[in-house]
Amino acid sequence: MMAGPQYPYPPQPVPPDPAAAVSIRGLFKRFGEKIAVNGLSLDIPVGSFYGLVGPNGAGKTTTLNMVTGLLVPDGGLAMILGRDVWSDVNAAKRAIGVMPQPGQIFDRLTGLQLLVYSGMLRGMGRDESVRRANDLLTAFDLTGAANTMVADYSAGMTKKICLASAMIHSPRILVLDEPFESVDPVSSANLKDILAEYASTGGTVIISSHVMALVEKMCTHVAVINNGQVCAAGTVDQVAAGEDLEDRFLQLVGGRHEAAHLAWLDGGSNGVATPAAPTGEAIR
Amino acid sequence: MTAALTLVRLRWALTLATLRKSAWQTVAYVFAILLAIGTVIATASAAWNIGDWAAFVQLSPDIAPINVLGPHGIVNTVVVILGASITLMVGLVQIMLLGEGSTMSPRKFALYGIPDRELQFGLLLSGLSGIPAITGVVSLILWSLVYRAMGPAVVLASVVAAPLAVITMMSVSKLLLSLATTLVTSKRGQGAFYIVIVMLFVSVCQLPNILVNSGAADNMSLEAAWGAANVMAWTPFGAAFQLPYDVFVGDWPAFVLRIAILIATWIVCFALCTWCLRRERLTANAAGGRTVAVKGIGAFGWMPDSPSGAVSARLITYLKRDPRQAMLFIMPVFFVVIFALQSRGISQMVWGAIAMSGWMMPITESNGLAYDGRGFTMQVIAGVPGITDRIGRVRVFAGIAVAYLLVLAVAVAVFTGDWASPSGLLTGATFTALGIGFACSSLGLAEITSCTLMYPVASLDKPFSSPQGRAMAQGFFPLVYMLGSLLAMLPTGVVALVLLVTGVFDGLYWLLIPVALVNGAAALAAGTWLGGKLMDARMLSIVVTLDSFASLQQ
Repeated sequence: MMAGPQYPYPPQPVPPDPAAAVSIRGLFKRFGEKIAVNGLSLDIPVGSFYGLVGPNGAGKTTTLNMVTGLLVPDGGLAMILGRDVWSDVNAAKRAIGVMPQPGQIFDRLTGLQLLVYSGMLRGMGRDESVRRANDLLTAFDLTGAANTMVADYSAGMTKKICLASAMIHSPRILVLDEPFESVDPVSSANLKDILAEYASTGGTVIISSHVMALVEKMCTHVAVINNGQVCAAGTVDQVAAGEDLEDRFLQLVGGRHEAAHLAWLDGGSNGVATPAAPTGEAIR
Repeated sequence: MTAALTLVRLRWALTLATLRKSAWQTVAYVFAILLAIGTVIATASAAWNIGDWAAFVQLSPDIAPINVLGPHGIVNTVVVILGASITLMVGLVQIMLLGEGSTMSPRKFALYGIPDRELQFGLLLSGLSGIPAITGVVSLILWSLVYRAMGPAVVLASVVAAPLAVITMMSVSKLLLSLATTLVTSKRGQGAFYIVIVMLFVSVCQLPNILVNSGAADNMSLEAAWGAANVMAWTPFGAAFQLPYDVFVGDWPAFVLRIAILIATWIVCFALCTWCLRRERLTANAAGGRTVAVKGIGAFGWMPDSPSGAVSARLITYLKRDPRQAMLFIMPVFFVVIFALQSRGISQMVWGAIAMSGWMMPITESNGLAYDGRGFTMQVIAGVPGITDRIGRVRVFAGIAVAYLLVLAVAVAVFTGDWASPSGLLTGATFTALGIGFACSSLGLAEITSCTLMYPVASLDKPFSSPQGRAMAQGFFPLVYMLGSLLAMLPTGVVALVLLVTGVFDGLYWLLIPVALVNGAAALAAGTWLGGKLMDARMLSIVVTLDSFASLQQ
């Protein structure tokens, strides 16, 4: 249990589930005045393909960061495979694979070097790292770019090498933040196959995403997060409750309103833009 | 013009916004303002005093009086040479240390479709409205006090020359920067260019010393110096500083011609800058051939097969590709050359360069994590303990430093001829041991400061740019490190002092060899261990700090 400030929340009625891949109880984080995660509790079963969905600023990334040991919670408990993340944070990190964001890698290494680095960093032997790195490059269609500096990769290729670097040590849990963003449809289909196969062998995949169709198609479970709390969680069918998942999401999260009418946004039928005031208040 | 003024307002709005956001920035800014005020006051008081000097000094009745204040006199010569050097230095410093301010980078305005010429003019104006430019103009205006005995017209000319000189400095440095960022696009080219600029800078700084110590200056007369100054006064660098004297002697054609030279310089700089801006806009992100391909896994193949080996391999791969840290490899050789030129045949002086190099080499590592940038997050994600990281880094830097200093020592021994005599060899060995001891103890300290006293550095993509708010910390933190690393060698210093005081230094100075080596090794071990502990404790704060540095580089 994290030592932290006292919060006026009642003791958790349900104890954490040590059998779950991830078990979260009463997780809390505030940044200044803003409460980012507000007593969030969630169980993610082993072998599930779990989607975290929610509007921007709902607290998905903050939650994932606290679970993966990248952000210290202000309160609450996060367990990975029955072990408290924060009691031995480096051990927890080695048990999971977190996909780094494209800015969070050493992009002056070549693709192959980056993967070998990622493997050796986690204590794998050099030869095994090289072997797996080559397998991953093949699986992600990056063989041709193996000896190219990652800084010269396209956005989609960078995303793929980031994902590969999180998988090289064959973790039991994969945590991916928006993994399919800016990945082309072909690569994305290949990625999905790899992830689906990984989940079918007992691995747990946790993704956060905005793309509801993707979550509905790929995930076995889903949790809808809003204002730092879980609004609904369970299998995709349970959460959808017989409706389309996207409609259900909008009902749960709210915030839809009539399309605002911007009178001046008329596609140019009104002639040219209004010139700036004579005082030159705007850069034109 | 409207757009240009808007850019000036934008510059100040951004500055004020940064001040509101960060207390550190405010402190730095207040410090900068104090420094500016100090410069102005110092210039004014110097000008007032110099203005009081006698125009001619007769040292003895049988030699001609020395011309101090008059045209072609000492002050005239010094002012022109100094002014020209400062103008050149401003440009070099700009490239080397400050770089293109990331806030007002032309790239930020690409979306708005501002005509190139207007944008360039706005950027120039916003540069001229900054504290350095204002300090320069005010100081130079007050410098006119020197000429007060020469009449109001001369003072007026000097006042007019002040902004002309500052506009010239600004134009030249903007041009150098534009050329550097636009033309030197390849990674290797940037590295080479950076090194050339730094060496040029240090050489220019050391030129007076070298001239004096090598004996070349002994035969230098005021006439010869004035000859050099006279040439400089016809270049854009020195022209503005000769204007008051033109007025004094009534040489109006020269006066007009020099102003014409200045204006022509501005126009050429402006046109070239605009050309660079246009070229950069049209070829942005189209840089072909920058792809680097490396066969195999490089350093990962031969470093130890362990997590710390991975850290080492990654680090050494980066050092090879990072122009910002290239000085590490150039500096020791450079020191030796500079010291050798000034040594007048005293070989201890050349050996001293090795000790000094050892002290300076780990200076980039004292802020090493900032050079890694956000990539460091990979290590945090992978759960690498602090001590593993520190060991990986120390292996690389200690290896480079020791190997480098030893090779350099052999070269110096051959060059000075000290290899031929036992006493020469012993002296060399002592200095080399001191160098290695310094390198190790500094490195030990660097492993601590790089986790705590971090400051923003230019991004690897744009080594000639300056992240906002760097100036203060960049000046202060390395100073802490430099002083601290002297303290880390205190035991060796104490032993040396004891040897000196007891009068046995000449016979027993070789004792410093084991002392320095043990001292260095102990400081390195302690620094590595403590650095590892600190890193474990501050791991997540370091990531947050690096993220904030990265956002400054945008």
